[in-house]
Parts: sequence; C-alpha cells; structure tokens
Amino acid sequence: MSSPFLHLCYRELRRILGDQRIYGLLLAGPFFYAFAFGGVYWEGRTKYVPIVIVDEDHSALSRDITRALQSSDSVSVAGWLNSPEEFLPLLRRERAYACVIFPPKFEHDVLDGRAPRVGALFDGSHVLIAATALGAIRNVVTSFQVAVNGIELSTAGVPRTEGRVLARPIQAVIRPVFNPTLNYSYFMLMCLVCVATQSVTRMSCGIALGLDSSEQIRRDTGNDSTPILWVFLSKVVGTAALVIPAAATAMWFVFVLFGAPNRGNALLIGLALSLFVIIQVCIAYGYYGLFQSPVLCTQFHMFTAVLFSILSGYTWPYYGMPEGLQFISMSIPVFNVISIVRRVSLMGAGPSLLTKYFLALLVWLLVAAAWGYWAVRKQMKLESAPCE
Amino acid sequence: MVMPIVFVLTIMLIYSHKKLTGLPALIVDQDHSRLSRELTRAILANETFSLAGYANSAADFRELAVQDRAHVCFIFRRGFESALLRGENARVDVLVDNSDYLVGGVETSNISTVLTSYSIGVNTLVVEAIHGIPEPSARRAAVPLDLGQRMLFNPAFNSNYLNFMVPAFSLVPLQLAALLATIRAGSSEYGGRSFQSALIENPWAIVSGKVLAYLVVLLPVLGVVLILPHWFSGAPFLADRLSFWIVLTWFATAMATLGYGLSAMTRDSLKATEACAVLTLPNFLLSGVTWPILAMPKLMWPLAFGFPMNCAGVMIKKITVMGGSLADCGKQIVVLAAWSVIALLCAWRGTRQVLDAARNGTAPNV
Repeated sequence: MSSPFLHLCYRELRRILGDQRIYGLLLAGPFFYAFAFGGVYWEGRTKYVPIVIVDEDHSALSRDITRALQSSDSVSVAGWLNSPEEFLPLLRRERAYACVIFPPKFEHDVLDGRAPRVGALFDGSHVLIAATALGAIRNVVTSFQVAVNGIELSTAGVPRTEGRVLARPIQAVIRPVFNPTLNYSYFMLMCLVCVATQSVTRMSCGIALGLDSSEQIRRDTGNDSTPILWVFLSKVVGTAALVIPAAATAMWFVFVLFGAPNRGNALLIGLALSLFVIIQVCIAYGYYGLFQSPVLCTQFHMFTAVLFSILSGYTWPYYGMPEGLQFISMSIPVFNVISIVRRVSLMGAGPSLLTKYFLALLVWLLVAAAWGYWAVRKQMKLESAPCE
Repeated sequence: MVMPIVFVLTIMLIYSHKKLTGLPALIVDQDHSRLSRELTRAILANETFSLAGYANSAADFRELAVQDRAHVCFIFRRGFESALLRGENARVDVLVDNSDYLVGGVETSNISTVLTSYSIGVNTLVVEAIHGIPEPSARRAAVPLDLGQRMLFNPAFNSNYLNFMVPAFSLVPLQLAALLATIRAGSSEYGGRSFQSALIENPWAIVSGKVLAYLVVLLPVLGVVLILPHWFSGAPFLADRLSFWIVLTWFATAMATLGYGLSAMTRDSLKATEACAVLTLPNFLLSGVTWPILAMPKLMWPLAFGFPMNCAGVMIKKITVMGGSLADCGKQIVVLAAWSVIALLCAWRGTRQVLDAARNGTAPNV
C-alpha cells in the first residue's frame, strides 16, 4: 500500500507546484519576509536619533557636554534652538526627538557647587526612540558628573586617583551574556523566520485544501476508495516536504548571511522547525474546516497573524503580559519554536533543557493533526461523491 | 465589524501591565556583608526585579537562564564592602541574559538606575565624612550635575508601552477592515451581476455609491476602535476632533476604494485578498512600532514611509497623542493623496472593465 500513498504525496507536490500562488507563497514567503523585511534590523540597534540643543549658557562646560553628545553614535545633533518652545513644532514634524537644555549660569552654578540641572525633553510618543535618546543623554551627563565630582574632590585636597574612586564608589560591571554585542537582529531574525513560516503556511495550505476535492483525487489516482486518512497524511507529507527545506534554508541564512551565532546543535533547530511546519500545515487545514472558504480562512489569518506575532513574545516579552495571557502565550506553537531556536543558537542549550518546549510542540502536533484530519474529512465528504 | 474590536481589546490586554516587571534575578553574595545585603534589598525593591534565588557561584546562572528561571545575576565578590571601606572602588558584577534583547535592554537600564542611585548615596556619605559638611551640601557635591528629564506626550513614561503600542497597533484592524469588507462584497456583487441599469454608464457613480455604503458602517466601528484605548486604559487622546475625523474618513475611504478596486479588477475575492495580504502583512514590520524607522537602513525608508497604514498611523499619532493638526502632517498628506489616486484608478479601471463586458454582452469573468 506504500506505492499508492507515495503516489498521493507526489500528487500533492504536483498540485502545489502547479499553482503559482501557492508555491510562490510557500517557497518564497519565508525568504521574502526574513530578508526583504528582515533587512529592517540590519543596523542592529537604534542609532543617530536627531536631537536639538538649547544652550542658554554658552559656556565651556555646555559646549563640552554638547561635543560629548555629538560623539555618541546613539544621537546626532540636528541643530541649536533659542528656546525650548521651538522644540515642539520640530517634534511634530519629526525633525528632532529630544531636546537638551543648558540653563543660564549653568557652568557658574557647577563651579559654585549648586548642582544645576541639565534639562531634557523627549518624545514619549515613541518609546523605543525615546529610550535610546534618554540612555545616550544620561550616559553623557553621568560621565560628566563623575568627572566634575573627581575634580571637585581633588581641589578639596583629595589626591587625583582617590578623587576619581570616591566620585563613583560603587561600579557596576554589566556583562551581557549570550549576545555580547547587543545585536538586535540576531534575536529578531530567528523569530521572523518562524513567524513568516507560520503566516505563509497557514495562508497557502488553507487555499490549497479549498481547491481540492474527492472528485479530483478520484480522477488523479484512478482509485475510488482512497482512505481519507491517507489523503490527509499525503497532503501533510507533500506540503511539509516543500516547506521544511524552505524554512530551514531561511533559518540557515540567518546564521550564514547575518552572522548570528549558533552555539548549539543545529539538528535540534531542524527538528523543532520540522515539527512546527507540520503543525502549521494541520492548523491551516483546520482553519479551512472552520470556514469552508479559502477567502474567509485567509482573511481570518490576516486578522490573527499580528496578534499571534505579539503573543509569541518576540516583540513584547511574555513577562510583560497579564498572567492569563502568559499562559496562552507560552502555549502557542510559535512561542515554543522560538524558545527552542533562541536557546539552542544563542544559549547553546542541549536537549535536556528543551524538554518542555518539545513536549508542548508534540501536544500541538496531536491536537493539530486531529483538527486537520477533521477538516480534510469534512472537505472530502462535502463533495458530491464521497471518497471512502 | 467584530474582528477590529476583538483585535484592539486583545492588544490592550497584552499591554495592560504597561511595563516589564518581576524579571527573576539571581543573587550571588560571596561577601555576606551589610553592604551587599543592603544593595540586594535595593535591587529587589525595584519593581523590575524579583528574587529568583541565591546561588554560590555565577556558574549556575547560565543553566537557570536557559531554563527561564533567571534573567539577570548580581555578583558581590568577597571583599566588596571592605574595598569600599579602604577607599577603593567596590565592583558589582552583573550578568544579563541578552538573548532576548527586549528584556535585556530593560534590565540593563534598571540596573544602572539602582546602582547609580546607591552609588550617589554612598558618595554623599563619603563626602560628608571627608569634608565634615552637612548632608544636603554633601548630596549636592555628590551629584554636581542633575539631569531633569521630561517625557512629552506620554506623561506616565516609565517604559509605559501601553500608551505607545496599543494606539499604533489599532491601525492594523482599521486597515484590514476597510480593505477586506469591500473585497468580499465587491466580488460577490459581480457574481450576482446586480449593477443598477440607471448607474451603468457612470463608473464614478458606481464607485462612490458602493464605497459610501461601506463607509456608513465602517466609520463608527473604526472610530470606536481608535478611541477604545483612551476609554479603557487612559491612553492620551488630545485630538483636534475635526482633524481626527478628517484623517480617519480619508484613510478609510482610500482603503475601501482600494479594496473595491482590487475586487473589481480581479473579480475574484481570493485573488484580491491575496493582493491585500501583500500590502498589509509587511506593514506590521515596517510600521516603526516594533523597530524605529530611524534604525532601518536608509534604503528601506521610502518603503516604510510609503505604506498607507504607516502614514495614517503617523498622522493619527500626531493629532491624538501630540495634540497637532493637519498642518503638521505635510509628508503624510502627500503619501495618502498618492494612495487615494492609486485606489481611484484601480476602482475606475475595474468598474470600466465590468461595464464594457456588460455592454458587449459578455458575462463578467466571475
């Protein structure tokens, strides 16, 4: 009976490769998403956020701090203003996102020991940009704080080296592990390949099932009594045989082209991706079973794709969600595959540390297979002449 | 009508905590001194961190991080307090799991905040002891420059993501609803061949009549979707109401016209839906919400600024969050105008094709 089954698998492959829309989505989708749009993370981190300076002091110290800001690659000085009121229109026109203000008598107050304030206005409506600008400005001001403090102590008679020590008695040495260069793209690109694979598989497989029928199967195979289980399995195997290599190659490119490190066993990543793809194929059939229309099932996917992306924890960590949603987030397949890929490649984790994620994928495999089988059965039964 | 509201309510729930809290921190205290215990208390008093446990050495951290049981590790080495008493620098080593960059970034920033505050406190005591000057003056000497920061437009900014993410993501269902509603109804209309004979010679009348009918239903729903985050979670809404409704109506009209146009040109709702997917799915990545457009390579900028959802999103943000008006939206107005022209051309061409087919007596290709 293996020969008819292989024939069915071959038929599914031919059907996919014979439909431009489906094979375009399935094969090119992961690459398109990961690299055309993955390019947005190419820079690795946010740099050169435009800021403006309001220097009401015109002193050597205010110019020194401005020079320090200019030499930081996180911000770029877009210009000087006469007063902070001029900042708001610039902000609304996206010409500057932060404004640093040196009040009058700023240097004079420092020399007098009066602890003057460097003012800073930020665009809080874009948290990511504001955080970058805030970090850079805070770093520069803190460095000057230590320097001024050291000079002050040394003029008070404390030897220069001791003065520097006293100026900052507790030092934090922060060491980022697993991603020492703080490269945003390593993490994001891996997640993007998984999310893209999910999107294109769900869209194209729902359409593919909608375009098939028991009548066509009978015509293609010349067999009147093909078991529905075989039809379902052949569809899954035929589709997975195309999508798994495409997704694996896209993931491999993340390591080869974008230089993301792989500190673990690549086979584990391959296994997780394969399970994930099979689950997505079955879920896509399940969607079709619910809506019985390729259009509705594609539209439902379009509405839910962004929600699942956010729930997967790659744009917003699951720690930040309410507890009920944390459970949902940790239960969905894309969260588990992302967790495995991240832990293997960036953390070098072995199988013993990945058990719960693989278990979750296996549970999903069973649920999705039952759901997908139900959908294929429903589709075949709807046709005029049943297959069984 | 239901999906946009479900969408925005789910997003609001996801971001309802507003910031990251309770990240598990591992403490390796090899000093067992009063100072290390005080500093541990100060770290755990910051809501970003919660105690994951104590360990004897930092070697345990990697395994705990992989198991998701610790995200950051503070190490107080032996001699930490005595170094400070000898007048030397005392060093706290911190390991941060940066494999999840978002969590790592928040941790790094909060570690700096806690340790800098504590360092200033210690500095104050040292200056006070050395110079014998009163505490307020010593504090001024310890902090010679003060950074007074003020967040505009997000007054609760303390990594408050709700005010930022939810309004931005609300544009996703808004665009999808406007495009997809007309796509389905448009092609099913052609299937039924139910064009009115009175209108049959005038494509513009057909386009405007159809789009207007959808807008009557769509606009109240879309308005509610954008105002929901303000009602339920207090997101800022400083809108110049007229500008807000002008932008919303314009965007919804452009998208509904585009959806109808695609539907008319393809006469197949599946093909039209797929064409919309090409337009809408990349929007999420290029919207600048999860990654600032500024940080993208310059080659991507025209694409990012050119998507209709992005320009409408920026306009609505400027009006509702920044208290601006249409006068502040020059670039975005040009982009949305270009999309409106494209949408009208699609709708006109599609309608002409169907009218020509009807005139020639050939059935529309359904």
